[in-house]
Amino acid sequence: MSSKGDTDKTREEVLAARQAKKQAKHKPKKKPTDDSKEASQPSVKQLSTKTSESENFDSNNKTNPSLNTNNDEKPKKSPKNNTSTEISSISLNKNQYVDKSRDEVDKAVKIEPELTLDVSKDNVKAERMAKKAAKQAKKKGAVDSGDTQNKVGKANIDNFESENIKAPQTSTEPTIMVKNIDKPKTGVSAEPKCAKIVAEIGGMPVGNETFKEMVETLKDIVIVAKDVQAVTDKVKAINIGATKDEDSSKSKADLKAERRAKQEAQRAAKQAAQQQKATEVKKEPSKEPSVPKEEKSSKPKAVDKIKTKSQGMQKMNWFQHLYTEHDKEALKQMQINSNLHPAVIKLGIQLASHVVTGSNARCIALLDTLKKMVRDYSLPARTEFARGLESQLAASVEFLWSMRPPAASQTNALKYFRHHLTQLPNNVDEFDAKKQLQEEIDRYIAEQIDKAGEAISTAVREKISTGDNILTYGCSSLIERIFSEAHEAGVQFRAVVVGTRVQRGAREMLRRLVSRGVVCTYADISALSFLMRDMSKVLIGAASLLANGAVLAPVGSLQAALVARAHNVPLLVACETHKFSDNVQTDAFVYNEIGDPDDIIDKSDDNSPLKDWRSNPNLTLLNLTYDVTPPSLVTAVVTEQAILPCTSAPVVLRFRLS
Amino acid sequence: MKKEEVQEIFLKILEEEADVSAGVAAIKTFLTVIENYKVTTVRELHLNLQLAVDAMRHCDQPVTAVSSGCKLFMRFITFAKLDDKSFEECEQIMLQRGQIFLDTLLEARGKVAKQALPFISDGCKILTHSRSRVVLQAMLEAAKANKRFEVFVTMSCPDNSGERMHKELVAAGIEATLILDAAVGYIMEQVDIVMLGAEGVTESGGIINKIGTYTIAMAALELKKPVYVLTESFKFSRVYPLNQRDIPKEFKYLSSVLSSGNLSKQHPLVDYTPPAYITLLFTDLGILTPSAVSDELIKLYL
Repeated sequence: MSSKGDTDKTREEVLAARQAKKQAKHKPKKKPTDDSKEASQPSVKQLSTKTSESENFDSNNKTNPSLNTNNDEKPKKSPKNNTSTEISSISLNKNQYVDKSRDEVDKAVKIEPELTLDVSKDNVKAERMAKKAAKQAKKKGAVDSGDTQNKVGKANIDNFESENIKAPQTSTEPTIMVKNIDKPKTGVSAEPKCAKIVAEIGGMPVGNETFKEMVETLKDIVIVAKDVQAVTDKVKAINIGATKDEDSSKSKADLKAERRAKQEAQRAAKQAAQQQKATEVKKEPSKEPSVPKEEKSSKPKAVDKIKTKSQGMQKMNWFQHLYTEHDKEALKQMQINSNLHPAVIKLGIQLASHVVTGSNARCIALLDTLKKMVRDYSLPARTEFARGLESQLAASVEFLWSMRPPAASQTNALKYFRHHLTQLPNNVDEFDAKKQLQEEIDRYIAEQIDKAGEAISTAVREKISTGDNILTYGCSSLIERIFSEAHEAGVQFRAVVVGTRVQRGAREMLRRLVSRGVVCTYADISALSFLMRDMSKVLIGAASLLANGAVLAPVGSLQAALVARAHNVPLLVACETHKFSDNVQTDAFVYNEIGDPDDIIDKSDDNSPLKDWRSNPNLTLLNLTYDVTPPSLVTAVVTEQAILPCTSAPVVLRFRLS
Repeated sequence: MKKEEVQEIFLKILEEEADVSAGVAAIKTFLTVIENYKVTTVRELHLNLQLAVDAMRHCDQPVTAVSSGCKLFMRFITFAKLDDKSFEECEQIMLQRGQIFLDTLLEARGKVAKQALPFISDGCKILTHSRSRVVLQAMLEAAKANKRFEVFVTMSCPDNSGERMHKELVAAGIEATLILDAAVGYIMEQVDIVMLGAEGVTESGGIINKIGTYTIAMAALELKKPVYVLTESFKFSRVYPLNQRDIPKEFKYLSSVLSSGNLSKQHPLVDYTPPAYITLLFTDLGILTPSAVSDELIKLYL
């Protein structure tokens, strides 16, 4: 373990030695994989293990070579360097995993570069401190030959990855990180790669435009590491710096970085006495870069600090009851020795970061994760299968719901699963029980989602006549299916997709429909009243159908319904019965989901007045996810059983329960 | 079994029995078909009945009630436990059930009329459209119960069936006035309630009825008069029109017209009244709000 306060040279020497050792270890393990699926499978596990805590460094070593192997697959367009290619392909692995499970997870799964930008910006802010230190270190740091550097750099990067993920020897972590950055002379090539890894460990593909930010990020890391004495203090500082980043605006980053340095130094002094052992790595959300992700030790002071920050976040008066503290805090507060299955963690992060969106997609993803959990569940001795699994299920579900509140489809699917779990006989054989549960899940997906979609599509096709203009709002996998199948059946109609700047769903829907050959038009929501005159029908999907017949749908659907009513255009809601819920809601206030307020801001606009909204105490941004359409505005609801009036939803519920 | 034979039977029943509606005649035809044309499997029977429905649709008779009645009939008779019996026994069971269905049907009209009685108050003015046997029976019952009321009947072109209704009402001693179809808006402020029949009740809770019904319902909503629909339950159908154009073509036009090709210049025979315009539906299953129709339909079909 290198000492903390030594000179750069000493650290570098130690690091070089270590890197050489690791290099020797890693090289033989590197080998290209053939099948992308196989690669993505291990890469998935890698990502999972990455995000999950790892107890020993050996697993780290394992992850690295696998990562390296996966790296050899699709090379993305990237800087010329080998390592960068490898590293950049890590991001592809994530994509591959996504592609692989495209049939299971809805096609709505899409990794947005925007997210990366956000993430990387956070990272940037977190690392700006390190940036300065890195600059200094760079000047001092001795640079060897380019070749050695590349090797070392690669090894560094490997280590960097592994350490970013989880380093039991956290005491070395910051210093190693520093070394990683110090080592490569051509900081441009290596650092962006490091940054890319960092971001990609988060699971997001990194765009080229974030390289500079990543460079600064890495430099910041060095600075931070230098300034703080205790290892854990450094880690903590980075963490807290990251948290601060969320609140601070980009333009004031430098000032804040300086302030942060001071605070971190103070904190280091406080906490030097407390922590002795290496900070353990908590499970990290792949959303954020590894550095800020580094485990937040359960220091009360740090926790308090972060809590006060989130309390400072402005809240809208009428929606106080809907705000959750979870945001990014819960991600850090994960327990170290959690028993959660890696697939559960992965799903949680996918849900929280909106990689998986859409009620069918989320439901299928949840069921798929449950299947994995069941498959890998090992029954402890003297425990009944149902009870044991139920307790693990409860823990997993609690985690998932803290990541993102459940959709009605997910709640119902879980109810179904729990029901079958309790139906298992007491002394059932473990293998049989697992098989049965997995079959039940498969049946649920096949019947309730797939077949239901088919039935609905057939029923709606009769309502689509030649020459129709059909308006739809937002993104829905079911509507997409209806349109594509109607088009394939030869009905000549035009689909008009309406979306908003804020929500990405409608553009995604448009892209998919166009690729299927459906004749489409896209319009912003402000054009609704202009378009509605020429529409024959409006067809929207729903997140859920409430017991009073109201429709819970993505925000903006109510607007489409009102304009349709004003122009006497019939409104059809397509909704499978598994989305029907027992709730009753008359407005969108009593229950809703608050989205990320920063999504409202136009990111492409540099002069946006909303950029520094957090610094303005009189300004709050509210991003609601759902709205409620009353049954009086809906002409009919199409379910797989029948085309019904909205008010008959409770009847169907009654039939389902019986 | 030939199409023409079925049509013959159907039309014969319509001719012979004076007051039978198309739906009831269709059910009777069905029973005759089951009796006379022997089959050996249930599936064959189903096919036969399908053919019979198809035949009856091409008779230039209103199709709405025929269609819904037949579907319900088939569902009803096959609802028994037919697994472990020989086919002759099955046939007997189905015939029995068919007869029960028919008897229930014939009683339905009386039940509906009785339910409507309290809603016809002394001295009230009722507006009705065209000729509905159920509404007629309800009014006759009310007259028998010594209620004094006045009825406005629309002429209802093109077949002027309103005139027939008017005649029958006058013959029963009820004060009735024949008005022009176009005079509905004029007369609406004078009436107290609107009573309509229905050729079919849709899943949405709306009705399909003689052309002109929608206009009356709109005027009634505007002047805040309650609209009561009197109908039997076998007219409940799974059709769900979203607007007027969405009504199935077989309902709107006679079969001879449909086969002639160009429909854009043809006059539709029926229109669709959305549930928002209907206050209550009087059926043999009870007095229902439009939203409850779907509930009843689900019970019948699912």
